[in-house]
Amino acid sequence: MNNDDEEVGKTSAANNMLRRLWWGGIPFGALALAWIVLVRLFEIRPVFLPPLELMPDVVWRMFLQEAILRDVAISCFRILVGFLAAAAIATPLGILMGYDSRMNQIFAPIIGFFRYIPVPVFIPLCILWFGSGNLEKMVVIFLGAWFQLTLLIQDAASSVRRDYYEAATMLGAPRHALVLRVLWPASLPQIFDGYRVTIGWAWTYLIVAEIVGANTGLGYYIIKAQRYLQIPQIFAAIALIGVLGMATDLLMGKIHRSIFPWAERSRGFLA
Amino acid sequence: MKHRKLSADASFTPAVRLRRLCKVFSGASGTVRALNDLSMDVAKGEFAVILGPSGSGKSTVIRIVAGLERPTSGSVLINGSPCPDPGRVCSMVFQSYTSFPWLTVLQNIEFGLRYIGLGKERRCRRAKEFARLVGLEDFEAAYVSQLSGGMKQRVAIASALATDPEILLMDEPFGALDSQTRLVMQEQLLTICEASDKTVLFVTHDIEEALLLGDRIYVCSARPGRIIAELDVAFPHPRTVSLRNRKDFVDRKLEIFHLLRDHYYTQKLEAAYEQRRRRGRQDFRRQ
Repeated sequence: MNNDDEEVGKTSAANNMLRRLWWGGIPFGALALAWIVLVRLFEIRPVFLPPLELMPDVVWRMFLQEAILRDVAISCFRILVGFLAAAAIATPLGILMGYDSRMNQIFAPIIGFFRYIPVPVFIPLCILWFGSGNLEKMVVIFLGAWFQLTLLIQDAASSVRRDYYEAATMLGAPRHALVLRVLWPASLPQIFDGYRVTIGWAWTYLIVAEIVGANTGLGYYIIKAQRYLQIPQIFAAIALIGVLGMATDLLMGKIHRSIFPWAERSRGFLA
Repeated sequence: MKHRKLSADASFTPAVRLRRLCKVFSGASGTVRALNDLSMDVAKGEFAVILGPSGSGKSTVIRIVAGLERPTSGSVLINGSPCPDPGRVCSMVFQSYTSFPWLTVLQNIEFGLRYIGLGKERRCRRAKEFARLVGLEDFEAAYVSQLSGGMKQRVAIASALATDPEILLMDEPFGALDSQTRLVMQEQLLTICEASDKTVLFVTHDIEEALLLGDRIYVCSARPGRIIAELDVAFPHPRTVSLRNRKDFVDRKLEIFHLLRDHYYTQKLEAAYEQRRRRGRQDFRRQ
């Protein structure tokens, strides 16, 4: 590719991004407009729905005076550790289950059993066993992500085309090389999609865990605001969680595209 | 070597010898007899084609030779000895595009080279050489997922040839390509094969393709597959695609077509007769 082509490629990529932001921004604008109109039209009391005009100030105070970033950092840390632990166990287990049907026969039922139990029901036990600190939140996230992720990875690993294995075998690859040189690279994009989906769920589990019993974190911030009837803060915190989720997804999408340039599909917001 | 003792003269040991091959697949919907009593020999250095209608079990034959399937009964001898592990003696090009999309063209061609004990540097040099052989030298760093179907098959052919197999197995490698690309690929394959002394076993349902490429054609019947004719193709090498317009080529093509057609109707008749005979017996029992 020569320089001109690259230039054209860059500007069109930038244009594309702008266009996406523009179109994707429309619903946000509509939401804001509806908010303003509703408050004005029905004269809703600020206790139920604070006026949008108030929000910038609230957000400003949330960041500067209430040090929300510390809560964000703590929440992110909990998610990261809980999720990484889940991924570290789910990835090899899921691959094993996808590769070897005997392993699938052994593990699929017990994982199916735990998967349908809503994670919040484990919270009382987790508090009993692990206290109400970071460890308990991480365990909750771990439990929530692990079972789901194992099944997603098992599905990714078992959907690798059989003729790839045959082609590799015909090129002389021994059986043990098939996992590392065929299954792993072939299913990695789908495995990564699994990570992306479960990290979204991990946010839910985290907030639930933080609402039930905590003294730090975003969930705690919301429950505290509820206690003191700081309704605008609740809205601000909810929006912040949305932004964080969006940022996570954007980041995962970017990573997806940069480490799998060959993958034909890439889904999701701005990806 | 062991296999030389089996035959008095080693040069008569065929590269592939199939004897009384049967293959029965049993699935949820009952059993299917894919091959019935199929025997054939492929001489060393020969380009042999198995020609037959779809569903004639010709792919099963090639998969058995490759070691990817086991025959229900019958014997497979490769160079006079029982079927070795897949990937030792034979390479294979599949109809579905099986070059790995997560690797670049060069990495694909390199894939099998580590298993024949080449060092990093020699693998790279060899891969480049074979990329040039199939005309992909400008796409070495491209991912296979970005290539067209014809180019994907060229990568697969280069990967298969790079490991320097004694026998090259090709299972309808051009079946999924458009007809223009197929012509180009056929001519390229001819050039490559004429320059080497590889034994090739090629499966196709295309009569023209069989005649253009093959030195010998085994015509295979519809399921259950067995060999109904063995034809020598005497057109001199080097061949080009323009061979297809020659009178004797067209005559040959018609001859094979008639053979397949006659066999098709005979088989239908036999099947109808057989069914009738069974029904007759049932009627008899009922009375």
